[in-house]
Amino acid sequence: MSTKEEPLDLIRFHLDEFVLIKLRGAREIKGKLQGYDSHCNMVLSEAEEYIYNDSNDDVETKKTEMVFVRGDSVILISPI
Amino acid sequence: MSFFGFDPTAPPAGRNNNKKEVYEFQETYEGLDEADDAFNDETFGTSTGEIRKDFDFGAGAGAGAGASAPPAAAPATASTGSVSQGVSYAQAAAPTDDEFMQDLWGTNTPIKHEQPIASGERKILSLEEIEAQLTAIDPSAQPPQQQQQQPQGQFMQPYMMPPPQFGYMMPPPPGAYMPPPPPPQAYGQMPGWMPPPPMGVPPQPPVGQPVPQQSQPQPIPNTAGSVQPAEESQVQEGAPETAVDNSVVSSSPPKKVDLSHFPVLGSKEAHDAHHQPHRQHQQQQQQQQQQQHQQQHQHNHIAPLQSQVHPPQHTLTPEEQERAARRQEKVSRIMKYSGIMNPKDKDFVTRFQLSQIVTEDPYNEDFYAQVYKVIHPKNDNVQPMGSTNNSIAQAYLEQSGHRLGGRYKRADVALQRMQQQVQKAVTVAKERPKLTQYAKEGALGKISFGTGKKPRQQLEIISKAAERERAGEVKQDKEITSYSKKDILNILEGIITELMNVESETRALHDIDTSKLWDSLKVLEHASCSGDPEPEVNPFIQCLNYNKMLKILPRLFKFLNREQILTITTLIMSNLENLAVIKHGSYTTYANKRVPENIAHLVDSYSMTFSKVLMNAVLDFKFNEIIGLLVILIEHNNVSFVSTTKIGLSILTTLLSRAELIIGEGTISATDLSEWSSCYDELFTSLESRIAAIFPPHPEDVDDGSSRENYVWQFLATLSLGGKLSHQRIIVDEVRDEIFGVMARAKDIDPADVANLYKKQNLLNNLNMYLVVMGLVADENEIKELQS
Amino acid sequence: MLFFSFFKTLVDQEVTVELKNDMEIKGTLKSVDQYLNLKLDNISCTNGNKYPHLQSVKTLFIRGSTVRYVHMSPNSVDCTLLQDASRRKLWFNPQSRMIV
Repeated sequence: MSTKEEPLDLIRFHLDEFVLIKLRGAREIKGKLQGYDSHCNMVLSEAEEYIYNDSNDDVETKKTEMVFVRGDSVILISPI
Repeated sequence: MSFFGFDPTAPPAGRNNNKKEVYEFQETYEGLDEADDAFNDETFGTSTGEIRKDFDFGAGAGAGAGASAPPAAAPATASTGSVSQGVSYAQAAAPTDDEFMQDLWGTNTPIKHEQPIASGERKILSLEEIEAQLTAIDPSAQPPQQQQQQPQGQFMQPYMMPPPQFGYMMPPPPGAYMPPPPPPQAYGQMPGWMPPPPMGVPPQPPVGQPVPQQSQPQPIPNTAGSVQPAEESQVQEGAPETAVDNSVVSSSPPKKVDLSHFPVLGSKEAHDAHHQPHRQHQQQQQQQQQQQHQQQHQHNHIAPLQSQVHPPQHTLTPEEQERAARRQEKVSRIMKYSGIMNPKDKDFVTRFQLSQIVTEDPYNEDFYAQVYKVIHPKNDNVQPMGSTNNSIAQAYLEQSGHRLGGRYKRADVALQRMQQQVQKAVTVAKERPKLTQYAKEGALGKISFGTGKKPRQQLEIISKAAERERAGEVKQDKEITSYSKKDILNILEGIITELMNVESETRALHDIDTSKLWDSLKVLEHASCSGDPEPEVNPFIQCLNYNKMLKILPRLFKFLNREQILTITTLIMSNLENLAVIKHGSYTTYANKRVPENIAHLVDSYSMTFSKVLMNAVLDFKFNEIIGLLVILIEHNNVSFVSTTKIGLSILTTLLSRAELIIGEGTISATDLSEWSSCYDELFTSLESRIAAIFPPHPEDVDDGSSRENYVWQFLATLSLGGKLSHQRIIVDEVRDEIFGVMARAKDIDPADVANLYKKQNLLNNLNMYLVVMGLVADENEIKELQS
Repeated sequence: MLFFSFFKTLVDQEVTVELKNDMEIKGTLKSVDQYLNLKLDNISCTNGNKYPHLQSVKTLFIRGSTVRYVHMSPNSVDCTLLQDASRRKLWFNPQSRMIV
């Protein structure tokens, strides 16, 4: 089937699956991948954002039902 | 007025009123304050007045210009002239050129005369008059700007393309310094802004009047000039005429429509003057010109003086000057880089830019929005679905079954259909109660007759896939493939990709090749059956654990033929316990007797997609195929475990009720029937004594009337339907508690509680769907024999 | 272009834009362009006490590159469609980028 695998394919595999995204500014966001493009712009549903402060034990958590994440903040995308 | 928009009156104006003149000049030179320029004389070598006198270019230039080649001519001339010493090229060139041109067109002499008069009278205008004039001028003020460039355009000709196009967008040639154009009103008089010496072709023969080589329009002005050289009016006329001529001839290089003169001409004097030339050159008069004259005329009536238009130049208010300067600056800014790119370059850039936003397939680029609009029409512009002209969206919708409604609706549809099928089966069964009775009583022996063999036969007939599976199994023993999650996701996305390809092909073609799609499913690639280690389970089955696979099932099955669907169904039946919804979908495996939420979600997804697809598929299956499927199910799975899962129970119900319906059609042979009953017996045996377990035990899962247990009652009804009296008795016995439980719960619902009354009804409906099979009916208080 | 297309469907809906400087601006999306620049109407700063700058601003333009998140209502997103749109190879097809 798919002959050559490209990096973005890995993201494609996880459409409609939960992924963890590491973002600039000591943030992470976990959510179900609903859409993405080649700039790593993404839309996540049922998402939860984690903001890490200086003291690592202090993690702020925010929930959001549907969010667009601009790709230029994205550091990495990982399946959960 | 001179040709080229140059106003020969300027120098004389300077003579009369040096300050004013200087003012405008300064503008031209962008801040060179000549008023206070102590070196003015040095710069110009002499007073302005002298320039005029000494600088009779008509004579002097005749020799100079004639002597030198055109491009070099102007500078050469300049240096020859008295003005030349210590003067920059540009400075020298501009005025020189001015003279040169005048000379060229034979308007030189008259200029001198006119200038003093005009400038003298100009200053007397009142503010209102100026305003009036300005308004009058304004329309024509634009043309002048254009016009100003035109000389440049002319000079550009040697370098650039045909003149008409370039009129005013052309930058000056590298060598030619262009003072910024003066304000339109003023520039007529401004020698300073005059274009540099003609480097181009047309002005080449600078030998004053005798220039027969000039393009056609020019001779006429020349003539005009020569005819009445002494009259200022003539001079003024000369320019417009030339302009007219040129514009008429248009494409000839010297296209210098000097519209800038119009304001000036608007003056009464100018107008009067015009009439003379009119007589002479009526045929040359341009309509537009006349209009403008008239326009200005009207305004001019207010002012008694001639040449009212000129005064503004001298009485320019600061604002006006500023305005003019601004305009001028703007023009020069625009001019600065104009012509850097030739049309080809521009075309290239334009195409490049367009390519950024335009694609060959705008609909595809905007796919989401286009389809979204169709699926979710806005309230304000509700348009019938059919009337949309968006073919892609339509095709997508048709393929994807997107329009079946929201998720919840779809779930309802699936459930309803199950219920309908069961009810239909029940009805059919009720219509032949006597027959059944009769058969039961009279043909007891027959029923048990011929068990055992046929189902196996059927199995062989129906399940080529199963055969292949068996063959595969042998192979697999040697080489066991195991799939990681990523592999499965890869395969799954591959399926989706193929599906989308096929879908898009169907938009264009009628014959579509679905073999790649089928291959991508990998149904036959790797056989497995329930109980295999998870990574080794057939990838298609593993894919069914993902929501996105379930979502595409309806779309997928559209492109599969009956054979393929049967193969897939067979594979599923032999792998039921490998499905997450079943493997993890039974409350019995959990300590708290509750199915975890994520599995419950998956179960819901199955109800919405898989169950519906299966039900459609089963409709196409033949009786013996259904038997075969059931046999495979029983052989490969722990039926009593499967029955404790919602999806497992639904699958059983689907197969059983379909079989009952087919039997109800009455076309089934006795052998088939006997096969069926032996199959049923086998099934019943595996369920017996555990039937009550199909009810989820957790109190929270107990159906309070919200249809949560519909599927259980549907199964009970179906199971009873296929069973003999003995079977039915066993079933009733096992679920007796549930029956009374439902009745009690129905009774608990207060009849006054209208909002919840439907729940009572639901509960009793469920119960009765089952009881009816045995000829019974229940209300919340008691169970009775079914009347009628 | 996918998300340009996506945001077009959100026009006239309420969204909350979180900028990279942590400012959160809630407003009605009025327009979007290919750079995902956004124009919002009737804005309010949801963390306005922290960022009082915009208290008197009612409408604004946000340069796309300053956006971190855009939150929206799940009801205004068609997930299945969005996933399919993401899968369309076309978004990555270099051919469609140039016609020169």
